[in-house]
Amino acid sequence: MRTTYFQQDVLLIILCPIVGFLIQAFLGGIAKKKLGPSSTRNLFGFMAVLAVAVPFVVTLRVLTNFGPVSSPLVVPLAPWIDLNSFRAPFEFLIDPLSLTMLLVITGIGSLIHLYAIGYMAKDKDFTRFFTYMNLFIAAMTILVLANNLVLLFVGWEGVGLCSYLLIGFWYKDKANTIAANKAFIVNRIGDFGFMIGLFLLYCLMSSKAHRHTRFLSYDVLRTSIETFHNHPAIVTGICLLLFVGACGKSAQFPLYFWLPDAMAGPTPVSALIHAATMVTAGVFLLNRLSFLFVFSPVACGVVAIVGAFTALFAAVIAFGQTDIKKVLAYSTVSQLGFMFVACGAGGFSAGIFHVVTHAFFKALLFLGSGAVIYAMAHNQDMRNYGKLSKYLPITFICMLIAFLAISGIPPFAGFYSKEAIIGDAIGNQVFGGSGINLVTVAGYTALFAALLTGFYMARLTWLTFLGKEERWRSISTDHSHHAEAVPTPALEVQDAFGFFASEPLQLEEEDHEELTADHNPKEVPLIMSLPLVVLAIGSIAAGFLLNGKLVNWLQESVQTLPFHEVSWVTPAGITAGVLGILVGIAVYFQGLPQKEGWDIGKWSRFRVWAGSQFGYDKAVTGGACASGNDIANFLSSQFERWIIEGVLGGIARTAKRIGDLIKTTQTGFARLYAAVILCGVIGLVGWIFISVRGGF
Amino acid sequence: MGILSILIFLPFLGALLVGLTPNGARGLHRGLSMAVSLGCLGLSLYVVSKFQAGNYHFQLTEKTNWLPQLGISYFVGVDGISLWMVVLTSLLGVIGCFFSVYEDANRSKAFYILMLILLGSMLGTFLALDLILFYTFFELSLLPVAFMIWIWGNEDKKRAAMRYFVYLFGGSILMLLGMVMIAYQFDKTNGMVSFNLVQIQAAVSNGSLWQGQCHGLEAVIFWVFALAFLIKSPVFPFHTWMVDGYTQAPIGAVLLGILVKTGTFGLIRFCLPLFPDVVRGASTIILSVAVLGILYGATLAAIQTDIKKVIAYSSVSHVGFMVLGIFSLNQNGLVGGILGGFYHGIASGMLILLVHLLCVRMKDRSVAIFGGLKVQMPVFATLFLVALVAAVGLPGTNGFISEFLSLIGAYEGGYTNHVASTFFAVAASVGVILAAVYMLLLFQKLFYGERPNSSIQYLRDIKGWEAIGLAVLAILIVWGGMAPSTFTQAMETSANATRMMAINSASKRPSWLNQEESIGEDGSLYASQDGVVILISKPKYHQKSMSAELPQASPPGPAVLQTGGNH
Repeated sequence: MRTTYFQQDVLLIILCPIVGFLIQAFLGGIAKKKLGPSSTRNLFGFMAVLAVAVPFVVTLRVLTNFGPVSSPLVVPLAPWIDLNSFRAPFEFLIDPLSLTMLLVITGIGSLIHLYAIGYMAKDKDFTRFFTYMNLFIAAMTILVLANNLVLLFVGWEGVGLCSYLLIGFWYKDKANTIAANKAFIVNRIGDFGFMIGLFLLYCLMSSKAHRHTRFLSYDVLRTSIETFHNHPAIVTGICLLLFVGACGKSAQFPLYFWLPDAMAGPTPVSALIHAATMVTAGVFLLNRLSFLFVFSPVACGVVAIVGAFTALFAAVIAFGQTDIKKVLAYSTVSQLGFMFVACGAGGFSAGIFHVVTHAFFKALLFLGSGAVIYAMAHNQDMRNYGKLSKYLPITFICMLIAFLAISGIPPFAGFYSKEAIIGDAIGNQVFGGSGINLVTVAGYTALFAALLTGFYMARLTWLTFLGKEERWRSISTDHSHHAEAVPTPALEVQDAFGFFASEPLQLEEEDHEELTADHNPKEVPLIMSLPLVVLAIGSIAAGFLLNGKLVNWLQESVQTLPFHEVSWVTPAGITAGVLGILVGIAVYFQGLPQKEGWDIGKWSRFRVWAGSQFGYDKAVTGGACASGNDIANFLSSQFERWIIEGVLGGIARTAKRIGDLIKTTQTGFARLYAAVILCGVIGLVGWIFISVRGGF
Repeated sequence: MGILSILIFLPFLGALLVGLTPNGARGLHRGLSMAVSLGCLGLSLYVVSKFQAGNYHFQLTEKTNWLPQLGISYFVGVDGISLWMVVLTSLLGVIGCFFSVYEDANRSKAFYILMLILLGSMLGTFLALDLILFYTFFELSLLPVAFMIWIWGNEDKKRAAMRYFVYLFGGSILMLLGMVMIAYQFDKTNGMVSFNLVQIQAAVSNGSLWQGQCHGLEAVIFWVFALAFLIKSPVFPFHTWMVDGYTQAPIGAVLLGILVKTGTFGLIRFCLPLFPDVVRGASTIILSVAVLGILYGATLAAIQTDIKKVIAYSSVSHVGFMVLGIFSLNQNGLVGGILGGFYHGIASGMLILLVHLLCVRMKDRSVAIFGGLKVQMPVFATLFLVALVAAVGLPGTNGFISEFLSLIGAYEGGYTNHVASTFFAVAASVGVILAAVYMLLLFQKLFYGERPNSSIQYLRDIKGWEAIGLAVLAILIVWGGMAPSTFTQAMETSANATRMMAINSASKRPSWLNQEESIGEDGSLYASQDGVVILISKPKYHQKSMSAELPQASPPGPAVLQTGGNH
């Protein structure tokens, strides 16, 4: 009864964005021709928002029906992979964890969709954008609602595909498409670990006698605690491999380097996918499998250390960035590191708490930066900003709130979740006894990273909105290097089938705004500022409203390890945040340290070095591409040519020569074939007669 | 005449009809062959509706004596393994006729005759249950493709046709020898010559054929079979003929050339059930070759400058996954391998078709001349994306299901040791990463970036009818990914039976024999009709006792064998 009731709701939640996706995909192009671009924009933009807002409302309804204390509920829908040896049906899990994630995805998702209507208004591929966005929401809901790991993998890869498509949305620029490829391939490396982990888990489960063959469903896994208890080494292996997958998706070291490049996508994409939702999928995965991770202190230690290192590393790199979105990207990587510290410390639900608050303030930061970019003629370099608070008051206030929230200043949202994380990590009992506790080290590292967070965010705020001068006023406008339109040569193709048009397709002229010295930034329209305000309210309120309650509620679906209360964490956290901001103000109060030469000065060498990620990205990406190329070229030019063609080709040539002998005249190979067949048949018949002559 | 015979001979009849029409009537030729292949598709769907899942015996069988003195019969039947391959063949036949418009200008009559012969012989290959009948169809299907490459191929067509022919013919001629040796062995142990697959397998299943003492012979024949099928599949290092074939052949030949799936099919149909004592030991070798092929194909695909070669090498990689699944000898892996043949036929067929449509337009296959096509060919780009994600094995598309099952089967491991099976699965999974690399690189080079300043600026999007033809394949890709049980339902029982035929010890192996025929423990062949059991033949060299060699043979054979009993 209860299940069938929830079945409809779950279907509605998943199908709404899918239907939205189909409408955008199939009717978008037609509508643009029939209705004209502007009414298409209004209609299809509205429908896109609806496709995300309706699931939000339905999720709220599910939440009220589900009640605060219900146990997790499995909602089966249909069979999918359905073998006798292995089953992975379409089945969904409603519990506090999935509901929390759903609310974040659909709630913040609809706000970002709304914002995107304004942001993408001038783009000619408006409906294509929302096609991908709605598909993304569908994949993300499948990811969080799935009740087995294979179905989760559908969403997991689905969001990866959407991320790929949206990073490369402006595909005419080759750099964007390279970034898109990089994102997908690096994620695939993570998925490689994820898949091996899945196989290992499958084998562990299938080697035990189980009543049903839904080996990878959470409800089956959760009841196999004993199996995990008896195989600690295998469980550690599974956890570490799955964590590799989480590292790929959630941009943790060593697989973080796709995320900064992913900023090539439109800013709403960065806000939705690369800040608020998709990149938290790794944290979600660890929460889902918390019952597995609690069996492996080693895996927990690794998770915490990797998270802490990433948090610190990315925060340091953020100082070297001049692109406003890149700063936020590294900030996201760093904040995700915090979430993993929480997971590693066994305080999984604190990680989810940070996912929720981070979703608010980071989405706000990205949308705010989008508003700045929008106002500054799509120039993203902070060196050209300054004193923008004068022109963009609403954006400024919202960004300021987000800035305080991410820095961990009470009573803003980030304070509560960050404090919970650091408290969990420093007071953890993962390893129990004495000795160096890796997770505690991670906790202290995270505390330091929190200080740096305040610092680099202060830098961003002061460079962009405050300071002494409007730096774009001093831009010299001498880059008039418009490419000369080369006349297309007249076409001389034989076109029997009508493949070609008589005229080359005229590209729609896109207005290339350039930031000039006399540019006057304008505040964004209402449709874009409204989401900013709502998110700002969330960034203020989400922390103290949810503090304690969310973590308690999540106990139903997430296992946590106990930890000591550490009394000095709260003051220490506040001090770190305030100190970071104060240092930042002290350094960047005047705007840039030097008037013109950004890269001159005491710290410039460090900044440039940090900005290039200490050479990590270049070494890894460049090394992988170069060596891959070398191997492939060697195989192609040497191995394939000499060994395979040589040896096997030699055999083939010999065979052909024998054939030539048989073939009496040069009449083509039909006769050769006939001759060989004939020989074969004669041989066959002869053989059989000889061998069976006794039989007749 | 039963439904299967009609299905097999309808294309041949169609070829005859096309032969009777006047030379110049292109439209008539095309329409006629289109109608015939549509008829085949309808018939094969009818076969699907008649098929009973959950039964691993051959269904809708038909048997007529052909050369009874030589033990050769016309014997056809369908089971869960061949069922969907038959549908795939007919479907690709339809699609092949559909998209041959651009190539049939020259000698259309011959073109469609060859096409229909190819279709008929492919169907025959999948349905034949007599070794010689199988071989006949298997070899017959070589000829049309060779001629199509020779006549309608691209710049290097003669060399490609020659290589195609020499490789495949050379590879399978030995198989004929192997078949004769099997029949000879059957004669030795069971007292009659027979090429009947079911009878031979029955003799294998109760251990009377190989008897443990002819391991050498069994191994030799196994490798002769395996070699023929591995070349046909084609598995690294025998892939060069396919790379040439893909680049040189006209579209009809390429599409049906995708039915090199007869290679993997043959591995399942013959190599697993007939040589159980060899299979387990050989699986490690074949798995290594498969994994090498996965990585090798994927690596080479990444640097090709010829679009069709990218697809060809990606096929080499995908075939590796199928062979990996099949020789994992694991329930999931085997289903993954069988499913892979069907799914890859659709996804790769769509990919090669898309690429071909592009090459037909520009008369050039090099990647370098393209770029920024997404602006002017949005529909084409979208369809390409669907085929791409299937080739990459993205969950939700059919490619994922088969790859995932193959990999999980390889990991779980059948009969290689645990370290080896882990290694194979991990190495093969690297192929999944590489698949993303080469496919995305191709997509980027074709569709993204600036348009080069050349005649591709005049290129239009594909036409409506082309898009519809491709959309059918796209729908099947998503369907296969979302509702794989449509296809696995029929496969699973057959796959499982095949697996048990390969891995169980003698007398515990299932057999395809129906109630009517059975082989006694002494090797005599019995047939029963309406409960009356008739002795067909007695072994010439009477075996003393099976149980002396096979200590576990003391309990009576499996239930299927018991009706014959020891009368």
